[in-house]
Amino acid sequence: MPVSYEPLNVNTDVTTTKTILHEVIPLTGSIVSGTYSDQNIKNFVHGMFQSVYDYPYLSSSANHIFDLTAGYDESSVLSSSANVQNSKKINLYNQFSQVLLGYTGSNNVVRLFENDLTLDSTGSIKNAMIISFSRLLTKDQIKKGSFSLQLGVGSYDLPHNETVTLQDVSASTTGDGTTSTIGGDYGVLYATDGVATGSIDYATSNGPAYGVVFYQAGIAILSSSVFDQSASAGFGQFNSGSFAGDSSGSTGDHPAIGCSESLSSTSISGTCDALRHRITNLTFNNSTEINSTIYFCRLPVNKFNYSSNPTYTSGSKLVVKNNASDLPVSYATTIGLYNARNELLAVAKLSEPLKKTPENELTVRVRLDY
Amino acid sequence: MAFLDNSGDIILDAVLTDVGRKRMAKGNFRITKFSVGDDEIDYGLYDKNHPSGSAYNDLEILQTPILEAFTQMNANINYGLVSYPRQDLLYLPSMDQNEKTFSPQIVQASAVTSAGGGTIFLADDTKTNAAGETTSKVMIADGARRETVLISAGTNDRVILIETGIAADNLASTAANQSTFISSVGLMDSSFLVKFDKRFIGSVLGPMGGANLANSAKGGATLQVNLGKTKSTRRSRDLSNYNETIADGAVNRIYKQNSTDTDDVSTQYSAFVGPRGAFTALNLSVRPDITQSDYSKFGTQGADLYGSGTTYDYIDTTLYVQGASSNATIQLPIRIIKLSQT
Repeated sequence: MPVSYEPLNVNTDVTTTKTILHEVIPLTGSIVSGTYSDQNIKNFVHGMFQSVYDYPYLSSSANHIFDLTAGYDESSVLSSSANVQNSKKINLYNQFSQVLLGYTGSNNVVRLFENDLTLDSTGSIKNAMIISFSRLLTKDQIKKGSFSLQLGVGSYDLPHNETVTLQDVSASTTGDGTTSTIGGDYGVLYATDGVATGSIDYATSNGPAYGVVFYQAGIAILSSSVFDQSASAGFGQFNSGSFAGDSSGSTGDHPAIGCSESLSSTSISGTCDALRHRITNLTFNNSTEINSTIYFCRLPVNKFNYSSNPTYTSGSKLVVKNNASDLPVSYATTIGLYNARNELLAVAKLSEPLKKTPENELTVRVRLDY
Repeated sequence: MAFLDNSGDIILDAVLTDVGRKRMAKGNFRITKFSVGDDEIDYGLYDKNHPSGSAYNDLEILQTPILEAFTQMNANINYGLVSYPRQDLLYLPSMDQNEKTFSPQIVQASAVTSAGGGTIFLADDTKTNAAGETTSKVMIADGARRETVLISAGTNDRVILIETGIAADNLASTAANQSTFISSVGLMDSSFLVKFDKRFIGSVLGPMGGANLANSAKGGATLQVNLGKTKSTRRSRDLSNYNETIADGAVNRIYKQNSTDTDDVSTQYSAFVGPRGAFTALNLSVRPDITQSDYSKFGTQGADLYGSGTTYDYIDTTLYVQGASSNATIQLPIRIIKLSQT
């Protein structure tokens, strides 16, 4: 390979930068429930969670987007050994709380999720529905202050006629309005927009809190109270009829029931089915931290003016010159980056040829992202 | 591999190569230098006499679509931009194989098309058949000319003679022109980089000093060269399965005898009609541990190349030679050949 090498001075030609890239992730409820007739929903024999894909999951085009599960703390009033999958629901709640919040006290009691930033044992979320997002969507983390979940709170048949929107409105990218735990930072999900229904005014701009979102972990914890606290139409119909499934994922014939009752008396997948049925829209921005090394490849006036390309000469004569006094010219299309052993480590291609003559000097800025 | 979008601003598409990822995984990814390539460019499109003026000379070249980056290390910059200290060069030396007949030491490519015309036969005489005959003897008896058979590892036998020079018939091949167009502008090669497939070739033999290619007193030319194993052999940085080594070069002293002569008889002794640069002479040593299954995997077995009933096993490979100063290159097709064995 007959090429000339130019050294890179680590002090003047190389620098590093860090940039944050955000992507908007919009998920419409029809993808989660409806469009694919649940062929994009994967239930497991163990019945502990449900995976949601963006396309029928048997297709190689399908991407896993999030998992759904539900559970409660054993101190919850819902906890009962007579419940369907009672121990699994408790185990799942504990698993998420121990990973995200850890333990407290001399007896290493697992912490409970709370509807606030203080973790002071008030405002506990003892009955939870959990959305665990795929890393494909969240990348490094969910951008603070960008999470928005619109839930249908209408009747079972027409859930989206009445909606409530939960947002982490108090959180900001500076870290304000969030709390740090062993599972990363979390923000509180407040009801910010919706209908005035029953005893709760969902229309309040910064209304009650109904859950939390863990940004780095990409997990949203929803309190069952978001559905339970209203006596309006539909709240007794959180889960209904054939939509309530059993632990194997098959459908059953449950009567119309509220959210708490669903958590206790139906399978985990049945509650997940009902929650999916009520997701109107879900959107957040993800964040990717990109660390870059920038190499300033300087082509000085007196270098890289000739080429070893076989077409550069005809009968040994340069095809770009008529006379020796004409300036040589070459065209750069590629930058190769090498180590000291002349091994080609990275390649950058220009989108169009760059003309190089002894009359110009080029600086090509090559950025490698990690 | 798609083209890059060239409809807007100039963008740069950068990827790590296979080696880059490997170095990253090993924790020794450290970039220290760069080079510039122009593999997509066809300089034949440069119209230096465009009727509309010099601004239009490179109109077509600048519209060349560029491919996305490859991750293979040898598929990105095969021909790169080079730097020469002078900007007034009008000629750049090229490289060619000298196949003239004035010296019995010079090997020629096979002229028998059916037997692999254009390739250089490298006979592995260490492999004999049941009759104990050496490969080269049988080949020559079959129809191959003696001049077309290079004997593996022979130090005083035939050699591949490689020259650099200027292939321009408007420049006389005089010593003065050699100085003007090659020596004085820093294009005289004192050494050559040789790249060879290490799976089949164990070592390269090059000149050991005192090599001479010059006009003889009788009006002809003489070649004197003794070969020995080259030094500084190491793994090739840009070709998989290849090693590279350095072979010495010497000044080619075949000149046009009388500058006033109409005919230049020195072209009977050199591959170039114009001023000559340097030369080197090479032989190759076939690896002794090539197995019969290697011939099956990488080559051909039992081929009756000359229609004589004698069959041969062979492996084709390529030798790359590059001038250290001129950057001129040549690729030589080599056929490693032996009598058929089972």
